Amino acid sequence: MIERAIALLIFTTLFFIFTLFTFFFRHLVYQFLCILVLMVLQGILYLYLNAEFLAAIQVIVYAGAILVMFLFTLFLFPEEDLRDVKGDFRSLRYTSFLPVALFIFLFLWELIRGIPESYLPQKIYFDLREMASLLFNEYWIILFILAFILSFPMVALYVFFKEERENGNS
Amino acid sequence: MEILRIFASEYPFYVISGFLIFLGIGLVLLKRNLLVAILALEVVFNGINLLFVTVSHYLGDPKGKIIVLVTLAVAAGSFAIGLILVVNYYRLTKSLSLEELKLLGERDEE
Repeated sequence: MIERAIALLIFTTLFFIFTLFTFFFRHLVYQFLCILVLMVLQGILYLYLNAEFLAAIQVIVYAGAILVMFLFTLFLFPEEDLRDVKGDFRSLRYTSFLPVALFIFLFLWELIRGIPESYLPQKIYFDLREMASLLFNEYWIILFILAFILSFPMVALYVFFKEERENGNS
Repeated sequence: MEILRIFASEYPFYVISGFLIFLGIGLVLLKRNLLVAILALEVVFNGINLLFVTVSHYLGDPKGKIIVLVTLAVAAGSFAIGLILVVNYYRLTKSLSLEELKLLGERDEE
Protein backbone atom coordinates (compact mmCIF):
# COMPACT_ATOMS: atom_id res chain seq x y z
CA MET A 1 0.00 0.00 0.00
CA ILE A 2 2.66 2.50 1.09
CA GLU A 3 5.05 1.33 -1.62
CA ARG A 4 2.39 1.83 -4.24
CA ALA A 5 1.61 5.29 -2.88
CA ILE A 6 5.26 6.34 -2.87
CA ALA A 7 5.77 5.00 -6.41
CA LEU A 8 2.70 6.86 -7.68
CA LEU A 9 3.87 10.04 -5.91
CA ILE A 10 7.21 9.74 -7.72
CA PHE A 11 5.48 9.07 -11.06
CA THR A 12 3.17 12.05 -10.66
CA THR A 13 6.17 14.27 -9.89
CA LEU A 14 8.00 12.94 -12.94
CA PHE A 15 4.96 13.57 -15.13
CA PHE A 16 4.72 17.13 -13.79
CA ILE A 17 8.42 17.81 -14.39
CA PHE A 18 8.43 16.45 -17.94
CA THR A 19 5.20 18.30 -18.77
CA LEU A 20 6.89 21.54 -17.71
CA PHE A 21 10.01 20.62 -19.68
CA THR A 22 7.90 20.05 -22.80
CA PHE A 23 6.50 23.57 -22.51
CA PHE A 24 9.80 25.25 -21.77
CA PHE A 25 11.99 23.67 -24.43
CA ARG A 26 12.14 25.78 -27.57
CA HIS A 27 13.34 23.11 -29.97
CA LEU A 28 11.01 20.47 -31.36
CA VAL A 29 13.45 17.59 -30.94
CA TYR A 30 13.75 18.26 -27.20
CA GLN A 31 9.96 18.48 -26.88
CA PHE A 32 9.75 15.19 -28.75
CA LEU A 33 12.22 13.54 -26.36
CA CYS A 34 10.21 14.73 -23.33
CA ILE A 35 7.02 13.31 -24.83
CA LEU A 36 8.84 10.04 -25.48
CA VAL A 37 9.68 9.84 -21.77
CA LEU A 38 6.04 10.61 -20.92
CA MET A 39 4.83 7.76 -23.14
CA VAL A 40 7.18 5.25 -21.52
CA LEU A 41 6.11 6.46 -18.06
CA GLN A 42 2.50 5.99 -19.07
CA GLY A 43 3.29 2.42 -20.09
CA ILE A 44 4.63 1.83 -16.58
CA LEU A 45 1.45 3.35 -15.13
CA TYR A 46 -0.61 0.80 -17.07
CA LEU A 47 1.19 -1.92 -15.11
CA TYR A 48 -0.12 -0.38 -11.89
CA LEU A 49 -3.63 -0.66 -13.37
CA ASN A 50 -3.25 -4.42 -14.09
CA ALA A 51 -3.15 -3.86 -17.85
CA GLU A 52 0.04 -5.66 -18.89
CA PHE A 53 -1.01 -6.12 -22.48
CA LEU A 54 -1.78 -2.42 -22.88
CA ALA A 55 1.55 -1.54 -21.26
CA ALA A 56 3.40 -3.63 -23.83
CA ILE A 57 1.33 -2.16 -26.66
CA GLN A 58 1.93 1.36 -25.33
CA VAL A 59 5.69 0.94 -25.32
CA ILE A 60 5.83 -0.91 -28.64
CA VAL A 61 3.34 1.16 -30.61
CA TYR A 62 3.73 4.65 -29.15
CA ALA A 63 7.30 4.82 -27.97
CA GLY A 64 8.61 2.35 -30.51
CA ALA A 65 6.68 2.97 -33.71
CA ILE A 66 4.75 6.24 -33.77
CA LEU A 67 7.30 8.50 -32.12
CA VAL A 68 10.24 7.00 -34.01
CA MET A 69 8.32 7.54 -37.24
CA PHE A 70 7.82 11.14 -36.09
CA LEU A 71 11.56 11.46 -35.42
CA PHE A 72 12.37 10.27 -38.94
CA THR A 73 9.87 12.79 -40.31
CA LEU A 74 11.62 15.54 -38.33
CA PHE A 75 14.83 14.74 -40.19
CA LEU A 76 13.11 15.77 -43.44
CA PHE A 77 12.63 19.36 -42.31
CA PRO A 78 15.27 22.08 -42.18
CA GLU A 79 16.52 22.93 -38.72
CA GLU A 80 15.22 26.51 -38.58
CA ASP A 81 11.62 25.35 -39.03
CA LEU A 82 11.87 23.13 -35.96
CA ARG A 83 12.76 26.01 -33.68
CA ASP A 84 10.12 27.75 -31.63
CA VAL A 85 10.76 31.25 -32.91
CA LYS A 86 7.68 33.24 -32.02
CA GLY A 87 6.05 31.86 -28.92
CA ASP A 88 3.85 34.96 -28.71
CA PHE A 89 0.75 34.79 -26.57
CA ARG A 90 -1.06 37.49 -28.57
CA SER A 91 -2.02 35.03 -31.25
CA LEU A 92 -4.23 33.16 -28.78
CA ARG A 93 -7.91 33.58 -29.39
CA TYR A 94 -10.12 34.16 -26.38
CA THR A 95 -12.46 31.41 -27.46
CA SER A 96 -9.61 28.93 -27.21
CA PHE A 97 -9.69 29.32 -23.45
CA LEU A 98 -13.30 28.23 -23.12
CA PRO A 99 -12.75 24.44 -23.34
CA VAL A 100 -9.67 24.72 -21.14
CA ALA A 101 -11.60 26.71 -18.54
CA LEU A 102 -14.45 24.20 -18.68
CA PHE A 103 -12.00 21.34 -18.18
CA ILE A 104 -10.31 23.07 -15.23
CA PHE A 105 -13.69 23.77 -13.64
CA LEU A 106 -14.88 20.16 -14.02
CA PHE A 107 -11.55 18.79 -12.81
CA LEU A 108 -11.50 20.97 -9.68
CA TRP A 109 -15.17 20.27 -9.03
CA GLU A 110 -14.55 16.53 -9.12
CA LEU A 111 -11.55 16.91 -6.81
CA ILE A 112 -13.51 19.02 -4.31
CA ARG A 113 -16.60 16.85 -4.39
CA GLY A 114 -14.60 13.71 -3.89
CA ILE A 115 -15.30 10.20 -5.09
CA PRO A 116 -18.20 8.16 -3.69
CA GLU A 117 -17.63 4.98 -1.73
CA SER A 118 -19.04 2.75 -4.44
CA TYR A 119 -16.25 3.83 -6.74
CA LEU A 120 -13.67 1.56 -5.10
CA PRO A 121 -12.27 -1.34 -7.11
CA GLN A 122 -14.67 -4.22 -7.11
CA LYS A 123 -12.51 -6.95 -8.47
CA ILE A 124 -8.91 -7.03 -9.64
CA TYR A 125 -8.82 -9.27 -12.64
CA PHE A 126 -8.20 -9.07 -16.36
CA ASP A 127 -4.77 -10.49 -16.91
CA LEU A 128 -3.15 -11.18 -20.27
CA ARG A 129 -4.79 -14.56 -20.81
CA GLU A 130 -8.23 -13.20 -20.01
CA MET A 131 -7.75 -10.31 -22.40
CA ALA A 132 -6.61 -12.63 -25.19
CA SER A 133 -9.59 -14.91 -24.73
CA LEU A 134 -11.91 -11.90 -24.68
CA LEU A 135 -10.34 -10.47 -27.82
CA PHE A 136 -10.43 -13.64 -29.85
CA ASN A 137 -13.77 -14.98 -28.66
CA GLU A 138 -16.12 -12.16 -27.74
CA TYR A 139 -14.66 -9.09 -29.43
CA TRP A 140 -13.24 -10.74 -32.54
CA ILE A 141 -14.96 -8.24 -34.82
CA ILE A 142 -12.74 -5.53 -33.33
CA LEU A 143 -9.65 -7.28 -34.72
CA PHE A 144 -11.11 -7.14 -38.23
CA ILE A 145 -12.00 -3.47 -37.82
CA LEU A 146 -8.48 -2.73 -36.55
CA ALA A 147 -6.92 -4.46 -39.53
CA PHE A 148 -9.17 -2.45 -41.81
CA ILE A 149 -8.29 0.84 -40.11
CA LEU A 150 -4.56 0.09 -40.18
CA SER A 151 -4.71 -0.41 -43.93
CA PHE A 152 -5.65 3.28 -44.41
CA PRO A 153 -2.16 4.75 -43.91
CA MET A 154 -0.64 2.17 -46.20
CA VAL A 155 -3.14 3.00 -48.95
CA ALA A 156 -2.57 6.72 -48.38
CA LEU A 157 1.21 6.30 -48.63
CA TYR A 158 0.81 4.32 -51.84
CA VAL A 159 -1.45 6.97 -53.38
CA PHE A 160 0.86 9.85 -52.48
CA PHE A 161 4.00 8.23 -53.80
CA LYS A 162 2.26 6.92 -56.90
CA GLU A 163 1.14 10.47 -57.77
CA GLU A 164 4.66 11.73 -57.21
CA ARG A 165 6.13 9.10 -59.50
CA GLU A 166 3.63 9.98 -62.22
CA ASN A 167 4.46 13.69 -61.86
CA GLY A 168 8.15 12.90 -62.05
CA ASN A 169 7.69 10.90 -65.23
CA SER A 170 5.65 13.60 -66.97
CA MET B 1 0.33 9.96 5.88
CA GLU B 2 -2.77 11.60 4.50
CA ILE B 3 -1.06 12.40 1.23
CA LEU B 4 0.14 8.80 0.95
CA ARG B 5 -3.44 7.60 1.43
CA ILE B 6 -4.54 9.89 -1.39
CA PHE B 7 -1.76 8.65 -3.64
CA ALA B 8 -2.70 5.03 -3.00
CA SER B 9 -6.15 5.66 -4.48
CA GLU B 10 -7.00 6.47 -8.09
CA TYR B 11 -6.39 10.22 -7.72
CA PRO B 12 -2.86 10.28 -9.21
CA PHE B 13 -4.09 8.63 -12.38
CA TYR B 14 -6.71 11.33 -12.85
CA VAL B 15 -4.12 14.03 -12.16
CA ILE B 16 -1.66 12.50 -14.63
CA SER B 17 -4.28 12.18 -17.34
CA GLY B 18 -5.16 15.82 -16.65
CA PHE B 19 -1.48 16.72 -17.12
CA LEU B 20 -1.42 14.93 -20.47
CA ILE B 21 -4.63 16.54 -21.75
CA PHE B 22 -3.42 19.99 -20.62
CA LEU B 23 -0.08 19.36 -22.28
CA GLY B 24 -1.75 18.52 -25.58
CA ILE B 25 -4.09 21.52 -25.56
CA GLY B 26 -1.33 23.85 -24.41
CA LEU B 27 1.11 22.68 -27.06
CA VAL B 28 -1.44 23.36 -29.81
CA LEU B 29 -2.32 26.78 -28.40
CA LEU B 30 1.15 28.03 -27.52
CA LYS B 31 3.55 26.58 -30.06
CA ARG B 32 1.51 27.21 -33.24
CA ASN B 33 3.41 24.63 -35.26
CA LEU B 34 1.80 21.97 -37.44
CA LEU B 35 4.19 19.20 -36.43
CA VAL B 36 3.68 20.01 -32.75
CA ALA B 37 -0.08 19.99 -33.33
CA ILE B 38 0.08 16.44 -34.71
CA LEU B 39 2.20 15.35 -31.75
CA ALA B 40 -0.12 17.10 -29.30
CA LEU B 41 -3.08 15.22 -30.74
CA GLU B 42 -1.36 11.98 -29.78
CA VAL B 43 -0.67 13.29 -26.28
CA VAL B 44 -4.37 14.11 -25.80
CA PHE B 45 -5.22 10.61 -27.08
CA ASN B 46 -2.89 9.19 -24.43
CA GLY B 47 -4.46 11.20 -21.65
CA ILE B 48 -7.92 10.00 -22.60
CA ASN B 49 -6.63 6.42 -22.87
CA LEU B 50 -5.28 6.66 -19.33
CA LEU B 51 -8.68 7.89 -18.13
CA PHE B 52 -10.36 4.95 -19.86
CA VAL B 53 -8.00 2.40 -18.31
CA THR B 54 -8.27 3.94 -14.85
CA VAL B 55 -12.05 3.96 -14.82
CA SER B 56 -12.12 0.48 -16.35
CA HIS B 57 -9.84 -0.81 -13.59
CA TYR B 58 -11.65 0.82 -10.71
CA LEU B 59 -15.10 -0.14 -11.95
CA GLY B 60 -14.03 -3.71 -12.74
CA ASP B 61 -15.25 -3.56 -16.32
CA PRO B 62 -12.88 -4.76 -19.08
CA LYS B 63 -14.62 -2.91 -21.89
CA GLY B 64 -12.58 0.24 -21.30
CA LYS B 65 -9.35 -1.59 -22.06
CA ILE B 66 -10.79 -2.98 -25.28
CA ILE B 67 -11.80 0.56 -26.27
CA VAL B 68 -8.24 1.73 -25.57
CA LEU B 69 -6.92 -0.97 -27.88
CA VAL B 70 -9.16 0.28 -30.68
CA THR B 71 -8.17 3.89 -29.95
CA LEU B 72 -4.48 2.97 -30.19
CA ALA B 73 -4.91 1.63 -33.71
CA VAL B 74 -7.01 4.62 -34.77
CA ALA B 75 -4.42 6.99 -33.30
CA ALA B 76 -1.62 5.23 -35.16
CA GLY B 77 -3.51 5.49 -38.47
CA SER B 78 -4.50 9.13 -37.97
CA PHE B 79 -0.95 10.02 -36.97
CA ALA B 80 0.50 8.50 -40.15
CA ILE B 81 -2.05 10.25 -42.37
CA GLY B 82 -1.52 13.54 -40.50
CA LEU B 83 2.23 13.33 -41.01
CA ILE B 84 1.74 12.70 -44.73
CA LEU B 85 -0.53 15.75 -44.96
CA VAL B 86 1.94 17.95 -43.06
CA VAL B 87 4.87 16.89 -45.26
CA ASN B 88 2.85 17.61 -48.41
CA TYR B 89 1.65 20.94 -47.00
CA TYR B 90 5.24 21.91 -46.28
CA ARG B 91 6.22 20.93 -49.79
CA LEU B 92 3.55 23.29 -51.15
CA THR B 93 3.96 26.32 -48.87
CA LYS B 94 7.44 25.94 -47.28
CA SER B 95 5.93 26.84 -43.92
CA LEU B 96 4.80 25.00 -40.81
CA SER B 97 2.93 27.82 -39.11
CA LEU B 98 -0.65 27.31 -38.01
CA GLU B 99 -1.32 31.02 -38.60
CA GLU B 100 -0.75 30.68 -42.33
CA LEU B 101 -2.90 27.58 -42.66
CA LYS B 102 -5.40 28.97 -45.15
CA LEU B 103 -4.51 27.19 -48.34
CA LEU B 104 -8.11 26.26 -49.09
CA GLY B 105 -9.56 29.44 -47.61
CA GLU B 106 -7.93 31.87 -50.06
CA ARG B 107 -10.02 32.79 -53.05
CA ASP B 108 -8.36 33.49 -56.35
CA GLU B 109 -9.03 37.16 -57.12
CA GLU B 110 -8.15 37.02 -60.78
